[in-house]
Amino acid sequence: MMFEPEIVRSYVAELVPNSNILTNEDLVRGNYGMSNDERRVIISSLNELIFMPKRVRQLLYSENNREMVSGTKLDFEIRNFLRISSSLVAENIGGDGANEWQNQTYKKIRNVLAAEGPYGVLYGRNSVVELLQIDMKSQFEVKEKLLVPYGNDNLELGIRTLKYGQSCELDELWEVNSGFESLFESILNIQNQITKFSLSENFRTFHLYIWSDQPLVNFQPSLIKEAISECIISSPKSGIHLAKVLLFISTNRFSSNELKSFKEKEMLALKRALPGGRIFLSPGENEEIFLDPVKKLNRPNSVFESKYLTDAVERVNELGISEFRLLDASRAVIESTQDLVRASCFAIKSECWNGTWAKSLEVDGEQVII
Amino acid sequence: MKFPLSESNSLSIDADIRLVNDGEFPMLLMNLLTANSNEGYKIAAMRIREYLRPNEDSDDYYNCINPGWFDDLQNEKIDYTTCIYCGYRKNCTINIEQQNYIEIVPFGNARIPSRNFINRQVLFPIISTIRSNTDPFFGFSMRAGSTRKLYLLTQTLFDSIFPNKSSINFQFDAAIGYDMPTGKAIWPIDQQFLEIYEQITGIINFEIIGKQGIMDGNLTSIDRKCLLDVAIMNGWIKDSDDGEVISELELLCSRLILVLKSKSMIYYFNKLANIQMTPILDLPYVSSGSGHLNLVLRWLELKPLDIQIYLDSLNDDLDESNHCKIVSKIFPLTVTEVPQGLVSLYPRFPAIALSPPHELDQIEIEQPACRIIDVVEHKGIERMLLLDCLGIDLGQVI
Repeated sequence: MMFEPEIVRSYVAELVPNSNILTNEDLVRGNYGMSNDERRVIISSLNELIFMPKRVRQLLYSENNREMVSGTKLDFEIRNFLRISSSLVAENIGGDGANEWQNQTYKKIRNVLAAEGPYGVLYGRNSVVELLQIDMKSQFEVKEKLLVPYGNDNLELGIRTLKYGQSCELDELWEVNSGFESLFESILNIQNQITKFSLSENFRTFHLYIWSDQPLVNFQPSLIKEAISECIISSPKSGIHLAKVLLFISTNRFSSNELKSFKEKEMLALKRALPGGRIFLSPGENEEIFLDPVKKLNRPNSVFESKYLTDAVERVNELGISEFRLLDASRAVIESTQDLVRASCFAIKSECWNGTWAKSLEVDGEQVII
Repeated sequence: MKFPLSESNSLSIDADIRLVNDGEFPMLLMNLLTANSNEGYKIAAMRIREYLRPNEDSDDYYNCINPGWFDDLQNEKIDYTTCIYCGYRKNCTINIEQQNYIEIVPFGNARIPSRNFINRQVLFPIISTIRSNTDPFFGFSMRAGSTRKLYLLTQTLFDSIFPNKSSINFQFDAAIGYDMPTGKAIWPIDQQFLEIYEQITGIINFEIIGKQGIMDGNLTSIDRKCLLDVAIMNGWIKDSDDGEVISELELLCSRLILVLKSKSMIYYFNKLANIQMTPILDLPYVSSGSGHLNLVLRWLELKPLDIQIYLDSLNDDLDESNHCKIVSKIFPLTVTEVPQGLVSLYPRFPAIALSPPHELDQIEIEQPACRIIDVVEHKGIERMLLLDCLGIDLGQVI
């Protein structure tokens, strides 16, 4: 295993200056970083990918991480919303029931925050408010009720009328029912805080699992930079905890070092990588595509027909990963020629399934079934 | 075998702590805190224990239950003060019934490895800096941190209880549960579909399945492509099959879509059919068709008995004999009866795999009925799974 966290750390620090960079050592010491003020980047070795689902859940649901929201304005507004709605719920089901509902709803909100981020508090299947549509086809209008569900009943906050096809924000056009003004206002306050949080990319964690078959110093610097940047800066906007595997692999020709292979546990860890990633091609300065003027002119097409690519395929087979999902990349890109190095290499980047369900219809595996 | 989740705190709530008023005690504590090896920690813990052991005798004193941890052959009596400063308090099971603990229950041939191995390598590999150990299933189980049973069984036994009858091409990463009668994993859409299905089967009989007034498939081009992808993925059609098989599949799906859209059903399924479904995440397939086609495809897989009802409804119709022959060939009936009163749907259990080093490559980290959240190498002869059954009594399932 070749893993040089300090070198990766320096690249990350250069690319994302305002990030909170952690390693496995930090996590073991209980230092999870505070991700509310800085984007969190965790650098781990590939063999740690094997227990990634456990680590992610511990990070997302741990008391430490809850501090991310505790004491913030969003938390204050959520508590205020629960306090007001609980007093209204108490009128129907009594104080004890209302208290229980309040506690359970607060726990649920914490889980939603952990799995979906602040947006999930008011939007989506697990939101604390619900929109009920009443179809009025004859009038070409739709009426919507704003509800706060509790037990088998709802608090009905207000009603609004929309034309068919009219798009409308959650906080617009409501006729608020008498007695529910303060509860409605508390929802607007949560909405404002969510907007502030959502505008901030810093709420996200990027967990990089990195492996290389020789010291990183032998790889093209722009390749390392581009691959790490792709993991953090160019990452899709979904999910608040993203786990990525990043492999730096050399071809056998032009490599002066003995190249490492995957250990059994690392091979197992690679099974967590999903298809649809990216392959970065970085042929070395001694490849014929740079030495032969015709081939040099024919780039990038000549790269795909070169000995370099045959070597890369051979190396993939030698490492025993040709059948893995991470090889099913959606795109291959060729690195720039500004900082060519001797070693011919390539990098593979792939997202890993972390089981936080941010993209699916489910929030938590257990919540759906039981 | 029981493992405490939190420090022993129930020795005696009202017991007085003896005042230890001299300068040596802080030094001993400091030795314990700064120990940088297991041996160093043990020596520091032994010194504190000896230092704090009461000198006089009393009926309130008791014997340590783990004298071996301190190489203490005499095992003279100790008291609450000795215990409260014990270096191994988080591992001690004294009065464990009164604190939160994990009990590991072996099934079949599974042999529990040593207590030390389970403690250090499997359950609590990261030394906790707080007063309780971090539950390994924290975030996966609502019961994490509380007293409960974890089950240890061999992978072979697990496979025999929860066989995998899903398509070999399915990726189980996002599957959420396991359907016992069919032996297949289920995805978020399936769970919602099955909920509605169970709700309505008591009301509506699926006798309405039939020709639905059509003799040829009428799927949209997108649905036809999706059906073809799924049929290949599931092995419903083979290289040697001619176009007739896919035509009959199209006809079957077209008819079943009409069943879901029929007056008596549309109320139940329309909302579900119109929500966004992400391939691989909400469904097992790599491509997605219309919501109704997606539901029909899952219906075919999860309720194969209804295909029999469908075929029976066409039994006397000679014009349908070829269609019935092909459909029955694609969907041979393989359903296991679940005894009355037993659960047929299970969540995917989180599990820690224990594997001999030479079998690591055989581990499937995403299985239909469980998801492996960690892998630990051990010297046993067989792969084993330590399961959190999320409140389900595995004994009853077996």
